[in-house]
Amino acid sequence: MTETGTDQRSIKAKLPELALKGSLILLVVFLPYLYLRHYDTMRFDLDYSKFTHKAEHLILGVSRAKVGLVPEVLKEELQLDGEVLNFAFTGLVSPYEERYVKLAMRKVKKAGKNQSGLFILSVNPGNLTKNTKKNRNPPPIYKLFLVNVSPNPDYLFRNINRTEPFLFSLLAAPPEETPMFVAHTDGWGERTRSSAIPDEEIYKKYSASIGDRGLSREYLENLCRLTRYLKDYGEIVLIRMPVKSGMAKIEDESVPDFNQQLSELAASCGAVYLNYLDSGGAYEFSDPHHLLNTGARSFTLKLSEELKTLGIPGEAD
Amino acid sequence: MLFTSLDYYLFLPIVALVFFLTPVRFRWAWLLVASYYFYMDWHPWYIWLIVGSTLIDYTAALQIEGAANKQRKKAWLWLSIVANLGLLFTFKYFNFLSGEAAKVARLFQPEFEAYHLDVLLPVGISFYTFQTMAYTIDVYKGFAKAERHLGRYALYVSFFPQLVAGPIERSRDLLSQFHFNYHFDYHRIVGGLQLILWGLFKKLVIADRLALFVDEVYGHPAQYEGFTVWLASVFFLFQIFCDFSAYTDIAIGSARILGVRLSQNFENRVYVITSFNKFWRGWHITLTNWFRDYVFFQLTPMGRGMAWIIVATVISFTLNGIWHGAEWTFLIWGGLNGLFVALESLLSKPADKWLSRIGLSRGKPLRWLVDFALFFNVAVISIIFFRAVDVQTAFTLISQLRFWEPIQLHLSITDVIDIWEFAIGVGALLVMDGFHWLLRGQRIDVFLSQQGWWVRWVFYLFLLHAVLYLGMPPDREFIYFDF
Repeated sequence: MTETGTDQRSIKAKLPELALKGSLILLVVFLPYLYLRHYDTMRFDLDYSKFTHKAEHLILGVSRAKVGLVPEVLKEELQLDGEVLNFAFTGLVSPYEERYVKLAMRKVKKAGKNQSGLFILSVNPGNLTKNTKKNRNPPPIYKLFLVNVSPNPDYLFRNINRTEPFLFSLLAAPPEETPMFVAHTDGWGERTRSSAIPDEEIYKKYSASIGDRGLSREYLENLCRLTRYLKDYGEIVLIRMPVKSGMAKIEDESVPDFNQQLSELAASCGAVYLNYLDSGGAYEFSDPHHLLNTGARSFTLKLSEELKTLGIPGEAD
Repeated sequence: MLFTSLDYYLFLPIVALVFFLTPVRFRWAWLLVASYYFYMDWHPWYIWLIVGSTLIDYTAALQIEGAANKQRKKAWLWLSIVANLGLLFTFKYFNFLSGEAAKVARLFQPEFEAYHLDVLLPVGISFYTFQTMAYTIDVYKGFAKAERHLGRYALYVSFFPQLVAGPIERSRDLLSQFHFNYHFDYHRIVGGLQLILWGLFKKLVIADRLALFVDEVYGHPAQYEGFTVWLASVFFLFQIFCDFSAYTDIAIGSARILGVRLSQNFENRVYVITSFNKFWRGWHITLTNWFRDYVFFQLTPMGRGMAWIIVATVISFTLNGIWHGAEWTFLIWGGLNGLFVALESLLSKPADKWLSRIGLSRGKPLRWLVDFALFFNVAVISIIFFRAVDVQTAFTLISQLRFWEPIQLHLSITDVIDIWEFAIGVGALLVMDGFHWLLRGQRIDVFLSQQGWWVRWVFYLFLLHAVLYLGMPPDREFIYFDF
């Protein structure tokens, strides 16, 4: 008789007891907790709903895309079948960093191949420049293995975006005023008011964060890799979101050949590149980076019209 | 991988299950792979420091044991010590010393720039280097045999439950356990889980909540005074106890699941301080013992007088302080504690006599109260140096302790944190102390095994609910990860 054999028998003998006690704890403690957390997180967490259901069409990027692209407008205008999800996040190092590219691939993979999906990838010098001083501890959403489950225990037990004891959040009353950020189940992070931070301060911070390092080779390669991967699932559009003129000036001065580089990349990786940087004058902004809810709707409408003109999305294979 | 993260609670059962399904002779290999993976999850490249330290000390110990003469033995011992201290110096002390040297140089050459190494402090480096140094010293002194199995030795250096923050184990206690000649034991596993649960409660419900108060006061030293500073320092004493003893509980519990016994690092009610000598026998025991055995005893050979013993005590504790970090504050904290321990040894008998004469002989409740009021508050003042960001801040906070306004005590709390956070923190502290009192020095698993099933289930359900509903978000690292 081997030592391992003895252990296997001991484990088997204890299995019924372990299973009974484990189930009891699961039923009495963890399941009620999971459902309460799910309910509570749905109320307060702008990102949670992005990980609770499948989507055939995705918007990827950072906060400019999260705030400025409205899934329901795209769905309606382009008459898209299936779910459209804004899968852009605030506080990422870059959406084209390796771990986030993998997360996006995981999310898309679950929707299934050969779809006539639409994938809008927001690009700008800010999210394609490697800034080592950026937040080193972004929310660990990239660790999520479960991306389409409701309730999502992976998200809830990792305590993503949680800032206070759960009981406090559970007992908190909903805010009386209209909050500045409104979460939508399609992932849109609506901005209802203008930011109180002076524009000059934002320009200064952004200018320092881009610096003169140029675009990151690694991020560009990841963007191309992601684009090629997404080709199996639908059509890809790279867009440069509109910003206020002061912001556009900073970007043009920091990376003057950005449009040329991205056009070439889009052509070689099988995507379409659309630049709206200088059209900021046509929309209302919450701050120099981010569109206000009215601006976001108008811009998404404009984008939908242009995509229709380009025949995007086409028919599935 | 933090002990409070979901990842760890996916990692640990997988490691344990595969461990028990692996043939005994390969179990060391599985745990070594798991330990390296655990460390690499934090910073993959720094695993090479552990590998380097392992190879040097493994070779040094074998060479010491097989050396033909004392000179050769000594040479290998010094190689091991220099290599380990060199690692520590490079990653932990170089930038500090370079900065301090630059301050002196600037007196003569104002534009002098300090040379700065752009390196992160590898997690656990102070723990595993001390563990491996102890190993080669023990082999040199003949207290331990050199391990011939490189894999088992590598596991001794990197065993994941105690790799990043101890307990610092001696080879004679830990290495022999890596032969794994025992079987799956359900009760041992339950005992391990009980310790883990208790550790999570102390870390997430108490330590991280007290940290809200402590961080606010120590982050804005000019804003607070009197009672608030005192309370923040008392809370820090409890925070560090709950944080570090929680880490140790989870480490011991995890190791227990795998059938490995780790050393106790804390006595349960060590924070009830009525003597510094007693306090240091129950606080970070494995580190205190390390300095006792490898520094204090080396400095005090037979025949040395009391004066030298006092000097050696202060030196040992000062080094203990510096071990925590390259800051003057740690040096002062360590030195002060050394001084307190030495003075207590020197003065306890005359003080006892004098106190007995005024009716406060040992054993009387009032004497206990006097001792507690004195030693606890001295410990609280000294710990200000441990927590303050620099010496100046520490002195600012100590000087502000003078300003007490008893009528506004409640404002001293509500101005700093939410009253509910305060109430839960204090309530949880009382629960912890009540439970420690019930344990009366026993281990939790031993105590619970003597109770009825319903007591155990009340314990589980209370702690699980407290951790899930009242626990702070588990993104705050353990304090000792920084050392």
